[in-house]
Amino acid sequence: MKRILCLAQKDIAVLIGDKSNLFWVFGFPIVFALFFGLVFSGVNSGDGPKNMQIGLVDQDQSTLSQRFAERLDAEEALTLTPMPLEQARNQVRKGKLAAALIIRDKFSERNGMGFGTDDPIIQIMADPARQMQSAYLQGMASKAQFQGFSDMFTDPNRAREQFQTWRDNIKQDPDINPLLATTFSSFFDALEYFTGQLQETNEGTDMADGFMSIDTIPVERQEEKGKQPTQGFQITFPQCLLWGILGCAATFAISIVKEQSTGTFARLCVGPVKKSHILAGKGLACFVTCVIVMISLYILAKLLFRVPINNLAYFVMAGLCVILCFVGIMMFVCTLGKTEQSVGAAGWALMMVMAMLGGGMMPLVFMPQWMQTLGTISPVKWGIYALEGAIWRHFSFTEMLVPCGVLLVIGAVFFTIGATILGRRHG
Amino acid sequence: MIAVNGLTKHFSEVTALDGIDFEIPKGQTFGLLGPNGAGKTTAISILCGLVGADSGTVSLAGQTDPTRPEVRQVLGLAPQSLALYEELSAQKNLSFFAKLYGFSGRTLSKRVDYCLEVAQLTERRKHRVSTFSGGMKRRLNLACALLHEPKILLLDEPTVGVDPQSRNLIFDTIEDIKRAGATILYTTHYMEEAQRLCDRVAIMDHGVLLDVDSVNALIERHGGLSHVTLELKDAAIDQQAIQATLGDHSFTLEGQQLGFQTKDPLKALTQLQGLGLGIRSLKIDQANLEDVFLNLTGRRLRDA
Repeated sequence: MKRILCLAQKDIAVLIGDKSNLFWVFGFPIVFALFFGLVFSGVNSGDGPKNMQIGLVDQDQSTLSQRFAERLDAEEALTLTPMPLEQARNQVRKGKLAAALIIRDKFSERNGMGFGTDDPIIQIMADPARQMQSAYLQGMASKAQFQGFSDMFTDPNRAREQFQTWRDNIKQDPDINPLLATTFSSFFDALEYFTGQLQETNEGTDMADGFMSIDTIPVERQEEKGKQPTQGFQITFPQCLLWGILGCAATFAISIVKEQSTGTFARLCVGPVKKSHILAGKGLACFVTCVIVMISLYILAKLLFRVPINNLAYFVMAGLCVILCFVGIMMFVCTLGKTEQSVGAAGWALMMVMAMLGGGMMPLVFMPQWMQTLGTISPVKWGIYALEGAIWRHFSFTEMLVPCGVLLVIGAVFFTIGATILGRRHG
Repeated sequence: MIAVNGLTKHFSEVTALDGIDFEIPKGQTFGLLGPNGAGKTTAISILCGLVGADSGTVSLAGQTDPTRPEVRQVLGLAPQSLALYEELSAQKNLSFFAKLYGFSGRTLSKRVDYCLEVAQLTERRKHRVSTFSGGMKRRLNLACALLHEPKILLLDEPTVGVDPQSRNLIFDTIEDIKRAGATILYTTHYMEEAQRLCDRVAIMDHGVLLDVDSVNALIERHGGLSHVTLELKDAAIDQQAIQATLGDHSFTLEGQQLGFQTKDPLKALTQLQGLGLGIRSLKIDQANLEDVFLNLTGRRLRDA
């Protein structure tokens, strides 16, 4: 075992020592995921969201709240649909709505103004993963609020009406101190005069900037079993992993042939190691490298793309099965030729066909039915299927067993064939 | 220490080895001299168990199976193709192979340091092998075979494509190992190397072992006559007297240049001196392994 570990350690060091290998194993899958992930998620348009479907929950049901909603609905980027709170929450969770806007029942009572209190009059319900849409809606809502606020100050009739209401409220309140009541009345008189002046100078629209408070309610997006992925990177992440593992398998297949052509294989065979040790060392190095690739890409997917993974345990299970399968395939690929060039060409050709048929290039969900059926012969399809099962297809344990089992069988068959051919080739 | 009996190996229609026999006593350096394709590498591959023989037997350190661990532990191989990991440094290459032989800790460091010293690569120990010259790689290739102090060393053309400086260094190293008592099998197609390093040499061609003996004995047996060329001071030469002195050996005389072939140049020259010939210059081309190969195969080694 010590010798196998030593051989595996050496193989990983050799892999790291060659920058071109590193690109195929780490760089290419990331480039692939970035490119297709952006294509499928559609967040690369660069000029902000368009036609965002927003649920409107108007708990205030006042003229003021209706005016506010009309102002928002007039925005080209937003389409508001009135609905009850629970319906809005469900639709945000299912991803059918980009977000929901709640106008709370104190909206008209506070004249559509949220300053001076910790209790917001507007709430936005959105998936934390869709921060851009949430922030955009928040900006639109603030703008509509400011418009309402400035309308009040720039429309002398509305302002006069409002100040008169406040004066009447003070007069009708028996508990208020007479001195304070007089002070407030004088203040409202002065304010009425001030807003009249503002209307003349047209300066009122700038005065309320930054005073609004809007609360955001995070609603984790959830998919029902068998439904669509919630974001583009969920589709490309399994493909990205598969490309990383394909890169590892091809690299290690070539490294076995390179050992034979350079003479290191002869030196190892003459040393105190068996051929089985050498093959086991290669297999272990390939396995460890694939695990490192998988962990690195997982961390990247989580940090950079915020890819939600439905079941981490199943994801690990699927990943290990994919890796074992391709370690077996690696052992077979290295027997496809006797030189690095022939194995490199034959290996990549085989893997490209596997990737093409199995949805490694074009996601399975976008492929025609007949292609999806043909792809059944490709281990790439089973690999992606298993990973998707854990990431967004919401597979049960029993459902996971099918693709994982197929992967293990394919791996075992290829490993046996490869090891047998290598054994015969080297006596 | 090494015994080979009736070793035969075919690759499809090609006969790589055709029943070769030889023995190498302990501590001796034995050369397999022959052109490319003579079967030298096949013989080494069978000896170290990389390839199976069609028939015949080999024995190393008393064991007939070269794949046995006790044989592996005393066997060192420097293959013709460079057996190094170009992506790793010289030190990492040596450490890796040393670990496979079970070395660890201080012993491992000492062996690695020793081998770097042997290869004169101590200063470049941290450099990647891919940055080395051909000669440096060859030296490291040899050093890797010495890590576990093998009693039997198989060197398959260890000086192919190296500069004269590296070649001399490799020769010095092999002579040191020889002095330390190792048994060495050395394959080459350079007769100078075989003449300098080997106690005994086997001449090989087309998988057949043509003759085996010490270098002098082979030359004596198959080398033929030495070529002597004299430039004389006087043009007036008594040709009959020369013929009488040289006996059966024919000679040529072109102007003042006298040429003849003899088995014993020193004796012939002493006799010619008795004729009172004034000699301006003298050139003796002694028979060598090249002549041995020519006489045994009808072809020159370098043309084969």
